[in-house]
Amino acid sequence: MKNGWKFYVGLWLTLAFLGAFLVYPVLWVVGGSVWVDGHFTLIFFKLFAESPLMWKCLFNSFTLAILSTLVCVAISLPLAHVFVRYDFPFKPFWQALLMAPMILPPFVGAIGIQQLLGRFGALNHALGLVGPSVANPYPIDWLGAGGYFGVVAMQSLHLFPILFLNISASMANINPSMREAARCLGAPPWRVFRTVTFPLLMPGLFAGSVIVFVWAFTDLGTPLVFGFNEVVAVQIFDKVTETGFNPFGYTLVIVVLLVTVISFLWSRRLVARQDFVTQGKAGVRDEMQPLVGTKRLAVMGLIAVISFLALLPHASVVLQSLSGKWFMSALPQQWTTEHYGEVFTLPQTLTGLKNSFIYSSLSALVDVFLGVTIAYWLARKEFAGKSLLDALTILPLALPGIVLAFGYVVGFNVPTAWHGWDMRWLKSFVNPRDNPMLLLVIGYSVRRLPYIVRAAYSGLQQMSVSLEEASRNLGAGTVTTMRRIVLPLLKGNIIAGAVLTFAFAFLEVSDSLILAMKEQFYPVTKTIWALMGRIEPGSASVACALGVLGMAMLFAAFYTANRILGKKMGSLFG
Amino acid sequence: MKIELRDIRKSFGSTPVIRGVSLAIEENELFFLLGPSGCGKTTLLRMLAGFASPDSGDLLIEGKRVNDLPPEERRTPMVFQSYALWPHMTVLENVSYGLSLLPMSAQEQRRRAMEALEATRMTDFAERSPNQLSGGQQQRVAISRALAVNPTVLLFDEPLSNLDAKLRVEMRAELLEIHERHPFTAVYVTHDQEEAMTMASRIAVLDQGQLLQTGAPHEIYTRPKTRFVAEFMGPVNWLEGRVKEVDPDRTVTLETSVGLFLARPSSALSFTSVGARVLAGFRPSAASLAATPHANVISCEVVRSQYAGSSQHLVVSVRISNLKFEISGQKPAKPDLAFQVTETNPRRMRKAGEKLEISFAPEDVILLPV
Repeated sequence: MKNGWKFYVGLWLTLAFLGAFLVYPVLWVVGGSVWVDGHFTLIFFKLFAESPLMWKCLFNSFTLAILSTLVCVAISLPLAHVFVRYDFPFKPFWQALLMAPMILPPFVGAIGIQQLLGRFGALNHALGLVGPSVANPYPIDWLGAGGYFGVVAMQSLHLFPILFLNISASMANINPSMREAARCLGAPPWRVFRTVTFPLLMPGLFAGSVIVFVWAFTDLGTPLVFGFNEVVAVQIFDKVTETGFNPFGYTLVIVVLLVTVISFLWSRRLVARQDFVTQGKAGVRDEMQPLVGTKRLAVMGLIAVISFLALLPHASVVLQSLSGKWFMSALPQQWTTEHYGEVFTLPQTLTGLKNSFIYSSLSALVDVFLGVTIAYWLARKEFAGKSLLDALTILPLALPGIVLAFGYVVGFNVPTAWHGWDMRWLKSFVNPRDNPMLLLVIGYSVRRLPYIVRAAYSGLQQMSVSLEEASRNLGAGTVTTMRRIVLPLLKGNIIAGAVLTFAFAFLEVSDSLILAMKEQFYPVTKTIWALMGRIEPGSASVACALGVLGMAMLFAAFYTANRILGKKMGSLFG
Repeated sequence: MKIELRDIRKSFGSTPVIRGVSLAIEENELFFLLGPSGCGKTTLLRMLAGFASPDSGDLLIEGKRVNDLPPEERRTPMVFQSYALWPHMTVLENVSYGLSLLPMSAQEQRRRAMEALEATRMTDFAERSPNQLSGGQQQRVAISRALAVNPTVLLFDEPLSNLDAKLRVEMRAELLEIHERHPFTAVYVTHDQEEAMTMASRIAVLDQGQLLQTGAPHEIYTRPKTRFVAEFMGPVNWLEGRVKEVDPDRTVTLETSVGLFLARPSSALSFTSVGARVLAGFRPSAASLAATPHANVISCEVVRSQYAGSSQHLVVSVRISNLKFEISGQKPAKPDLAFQVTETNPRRMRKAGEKLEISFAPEDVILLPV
């Protein structure tokens, strides 16, 4: 069947949209970093290379990301082994518990970690190192130099589930007969792991590590909350808010972009290789071995400790949100629920909640419409430019939030007048300094687009084309077929995708913090950040209450999506 | 004439898949497109449905050129190999779907949908979900769904190939019965020559995008025009020969490596001039295991036998009297020629080494130009 003109109009509009909100801002940043007053120059990079601060930031970001990744590997590898190979009581419950940190926003958890591990935090009080009776001006700083280890701890606790999922999947894909072959040739279990299992795991392990690394490298929320400012992400954030023209913003974004794009391409190659490794699998699954005796105790103990640690920051956030007074003591001295009341009465929090609801709902709508359309074209149509469209929909995976947000700020800085044209009408809704709504909504959707396209695409792949053809040749046009056959059949994927996009947008950090500049447009995350920065007593508790509400909503969203999708959930995380 | 194809051509990339096919299909025919996989039969069917368009040529339905008409404007519903029943609708909703796109009241829709279910005896299952039905039942619903819209042409895309052997045979009879009660024009794609022969009013045999022969099942089976068609419809024993004599009653006398043969084609053949080299063949089932008067008789010896209950398949060897002719499929140096013969209703098992005479009537000889 030939594609009609309507299809091409739609395709061009989509490509234009993606071009404007994905490619253009990045190109603008690249251009801005080497193009000054109409001349090509590398002066910014030279200045960058000569700045000790920049080197320090780069060093910090790299080591932070690498450390976090290593900690994640150390946690995930034994966990994955235990979950793939052994059977033990309440396994689904433990699995769900271990997944929980991934969906809890680290931005909020960081607040909790600080409360727990800070110099005058709960841990030091519990250990009796500080307190009203102890006059110790320098108690142990568990967070490390300026919060360094706090950031590592928070990022690891947040990100290890990604690696856990990746490694488990790789492990389950290894045909047990490969191990059995080594066993019956005389290799003891540890040797089998070292010489057979581990090498086969490597591609999956590396691919997962790259995701964790990039995430940690570009994370803005966690270091910001810890006040650990000498990292690349926070520097970019500062450069945006700095008035005037600071070229370091551009160069920093270029550096981040290079790091992420290279990591991304590398991980895709690794994943491609993994497909090759596991190609020969015969669909044989491991027999689960039951765990007994001390081994069982040890395993369950390990899982319990990891889950406890992973949930601790958020538990502490809940505590703080309920505390009337929590100062110089291990646990709050007074309990109250009034902070939750304040969340719904303070104009500041109400504005944040209202804004986030509007932005998130709109971005979910945009995402569903765009995602399903693109997935349908990719799955069902043949056209020139298909690979371009495919590449554009994957691109956001390689573009961290801070890069895109920075690009939006500098790229959509619409002036009041341009070549004598009055641009105020455009400026009033495009320039984030005037109104960030459009860019926030689009930013949220675009960053979530790869996931929703993938979910819809896999739904379409599982759905036989003849279901649509049967409708077409009974007299239904393309639109009717879409409405009555395709959409109802994809309903589950679409609703789940929309719910997840909504939840993601609701607790998104980098776009929200960078793009929302006026208080009247603050989304929830920026409101939390603003509240944290206030000195009035109780405002931190209100921030925590807001965070807890956010987490509750996120939980509800994931629960709903999980119920709708069942076991297909994994396809939404990538 | 219901459907007409005029010199249809189509390529996928640089690979031609249809190389000039012309066909005419009459009202209420059960027209079969038969051929091995990759012969282009499914592509032709999808062109009729509007899911593909020809690169050149004309596709006419009821006299109207429909080359690029979108599928929804053709009323040519297809019965898919996978049935393609929508899992989110009940059986009745599936069947009413096509009707709901036509201007008619809800009652009218329901009435006609139930009528279509009635035709396949599926009314009792109207409120079920397709997932609750067996393969055969799903197939019936798929047929009802297509019948309900009162189609111009019904298209069948290997509809029975997902069913088990026994059910497939039952469904053939059932489809024929439905067609008898509610006549419709159908184009039916299959690679199963038995299915085609039992059901078709006419068959078109395709290979590598070309139409080799069109005709009634009996004609295609007994008078194939090419060796490919002959062998696709069933096994044939071939031997080459030279025309010695042609009688006015069309009887052709052939000189072959196993002696003189008589062939009596049903119509005059252009290539049977005296002295011409021809390919002669007879089907295993056409041979009888005894010398019959006025038939071609060959003495042979049993090499192998396979007992199959209602019949017995034998491989017999024939001593060649002269090696003047090359025997197709056999190395010339080999002194023996092997034939397959089928004995129906065998009374006893034939043993290897047993001598016997086989015979076949001149009317059963297939003659082809070399």
